[in-house]
Amino acid sequence: MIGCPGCGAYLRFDIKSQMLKCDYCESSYSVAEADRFRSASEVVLEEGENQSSTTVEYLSDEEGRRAQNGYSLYAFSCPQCGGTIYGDCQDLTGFCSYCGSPVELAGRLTELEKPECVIPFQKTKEDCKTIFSRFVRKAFFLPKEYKDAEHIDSFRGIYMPYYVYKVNQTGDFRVNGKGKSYRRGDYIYTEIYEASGEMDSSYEGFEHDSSSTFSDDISESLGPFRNQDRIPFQGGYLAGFYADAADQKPGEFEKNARSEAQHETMRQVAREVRRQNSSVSIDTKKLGGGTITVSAEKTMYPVWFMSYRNGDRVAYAAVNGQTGKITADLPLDFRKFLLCAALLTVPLYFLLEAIFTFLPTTMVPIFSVMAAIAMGMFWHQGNDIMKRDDAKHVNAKKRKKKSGAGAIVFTAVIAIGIYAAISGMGFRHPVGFGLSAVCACVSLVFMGMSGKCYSNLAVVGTKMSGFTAAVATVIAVVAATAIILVSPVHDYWYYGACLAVLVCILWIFLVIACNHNMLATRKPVQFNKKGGDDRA
Amino acid sequence: MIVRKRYIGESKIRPAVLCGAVLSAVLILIGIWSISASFGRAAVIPEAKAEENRDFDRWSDEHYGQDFPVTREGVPAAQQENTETGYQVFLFDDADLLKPEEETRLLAEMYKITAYGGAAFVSVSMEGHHAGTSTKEYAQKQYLQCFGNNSGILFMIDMSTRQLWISANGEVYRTVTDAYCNTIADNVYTYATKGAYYECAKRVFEQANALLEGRKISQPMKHISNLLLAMALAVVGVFGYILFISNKSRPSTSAVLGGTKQRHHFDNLKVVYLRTDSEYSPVSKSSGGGSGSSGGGGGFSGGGGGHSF
Repeated sequence: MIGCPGCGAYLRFDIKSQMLKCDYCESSYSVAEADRFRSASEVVLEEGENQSSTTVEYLSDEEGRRAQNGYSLYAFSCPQCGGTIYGDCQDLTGFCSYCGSPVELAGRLTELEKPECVIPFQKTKEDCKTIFSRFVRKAFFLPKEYKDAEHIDSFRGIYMPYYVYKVNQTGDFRVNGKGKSYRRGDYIYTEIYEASGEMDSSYEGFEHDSSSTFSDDISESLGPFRNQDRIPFQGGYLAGFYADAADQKPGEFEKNARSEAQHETMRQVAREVRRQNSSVSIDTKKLGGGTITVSAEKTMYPVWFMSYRNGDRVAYAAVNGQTGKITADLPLDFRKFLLCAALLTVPLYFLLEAIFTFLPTTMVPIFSVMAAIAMGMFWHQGNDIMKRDDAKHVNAKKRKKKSGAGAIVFTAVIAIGIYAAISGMGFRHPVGFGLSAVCACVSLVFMGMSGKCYSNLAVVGTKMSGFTAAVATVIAVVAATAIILVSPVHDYWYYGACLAVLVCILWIFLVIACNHNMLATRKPVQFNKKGGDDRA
Repeated sequence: MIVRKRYIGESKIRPAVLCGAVLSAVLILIGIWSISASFGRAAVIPEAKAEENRDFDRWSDEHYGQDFPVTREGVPAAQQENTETGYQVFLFDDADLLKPEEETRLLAEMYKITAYGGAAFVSVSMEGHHAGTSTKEYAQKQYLQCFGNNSGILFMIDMSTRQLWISANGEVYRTVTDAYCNTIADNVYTYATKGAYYECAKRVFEQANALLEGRKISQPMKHISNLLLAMALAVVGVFGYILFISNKSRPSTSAVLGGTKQRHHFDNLKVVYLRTDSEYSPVSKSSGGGSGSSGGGGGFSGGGGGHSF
């Protein structure tokens, strides 16, 4: 915490002016200037003196060295989820940024390792709120409370720790390329060239977040940051903001930076070769050679962060504090989903009326196809939740053994269905029957695969509903297929089949919509910590 | 500050919800109307038209018992020609589904079509099975025999396959399209199922005439099908949009590289010719195709629709 040299009140980093500002006496200081007396005021605090009596002292050489390696912040640990956030004020009131629980916490002073660089906040909280409001305007299906002004106000400026990688690739390279190609008689002739030289490529700015509490999907979609705007870290930039601490090693993500750099170098070499001889194209995948060195730099990136808690799940929204790019978990309100579907039905109905006249016998296979698609989405969603909740390794052996048999059955039923469709087999509606039969088989396979997902999720404690809907859908599609096979005279049989399949499609989509909230929200961070309990 | 958070789905009724409810109610009413129409009324004939029909009834009474010149396979056929337009009416009741007075009345109904094209009614008996051809193909063949490729409409009741089929061509087909043929067949098949063949045929020509005169016919099949499909598509569409909006896309490679500082330096770059590789790839020796045959004989260029009964 930095005190104002004029009046002793707290200074905060003003985004618009990019200076430290005192709200009490309205004095402004550059970050460099204020950082020099920051540690001096900390010394006074540690001695138990009153904050208001803080005096400005410039650092001695020893204190300066200490300030170069670390910096002090108050740590706030949420009693609900165990997530820790750091700030330069002594108290934290409002919401836990990780689990969304209401908290009122007193901080304990902690020494953190000092990062090398920082990108200061460029977007103000007002900018962030405007960006978020504009974004959620498109997401009509969000719960009302998610868009509440009061909730939006809970956006908190947090400096997230990232590793910024520098990659150098130097050395000789030698690669073959193809030149002109021409035909003479029964032969095609291709000229082969060899390209060689020395390369010296360097990259700076491949980024990856270094906090395990910050989800990778959020950090990746927030990027890229403009790394050329990085400046040496000074504690003053944190005044009035919060920070997360790095808890992952740089080596964990080095591989990504290395492969991205290598790929780009290959592209550059290929371009250079084409510049010399435009007819020669080299296979960039075969290019190798050179020595690659990678180094990581700890950097703090600005992120506006908000959490929304619903039961034991939490949804995050984050805005890039430099570029304004937004990413958010978007849970849906069930009623709004149904309402929108009902509203969309009207124009779609009139559109279809203007263009199509479907026969009842045509409708059945159309609905069967839609049911198969719905089943596919149902399975895909279960699979996504399984991956997200890290249940993918459960029963992996069993899955591997059974997957072969499943694929054979799947291929066989599809083949029979297609055969039925092509040959007709004497049915009155051969194509309709064939298509419907294929869809019934596909739905059946998806149901089986969804069942596996559900059982795996049950093992890791994630409860999902709606498997009955999947079973009902398969039964409805099979019944519809049987109706086409029998070919009754009266239309109401076909309408009945369509209606039954439609009801099942609606049911399964309602289940998917409910489960969507499982994907759009996540377990609070404590799940990633030892001893965590989701029902705590 | 502690704020009470409401759970998903917990919200007050808003105008948008009310609008949705009203629209849903309207859609349900349309559905009910469509269903009731499909089982009850088949075509809408206004009062003015009813009077006109009575005139034609009088005309048919006058011509009742008259011998018609065309016969086919020993079965008496009825024929009438509209002297103004030159279009003809044919009635071949092989299956003997109509009584003589019904034939006359049906001819009167069919006669109205002759303002736009020919009209034919054909019934196929159980024994008259047209081996190797479907009802549709047989109907088209019969149409060509009656009218060639001129404008007209043919309604066939095939007792051997228990199928109804309507074939149309020319000016009539421009109005009574495939979709309408299917709709009309769907509207009348219940009469054929009950054995009311005259009623069935009469309604086919009534509805075709209504369309040709610019009036509308009820289309319960179309409404029900489209309503069900619209509902399913709407759910899929809304959810697709939700998935699209919710997608957290990773930045592209070019965007990631755009955020990096890069420097490339290449020295002693040499591109040297090594050799020429050859690959055996024989040129296809097949000769060019001859010219295609000219168009075949005049087939049926119209369309139609049908229904089983």
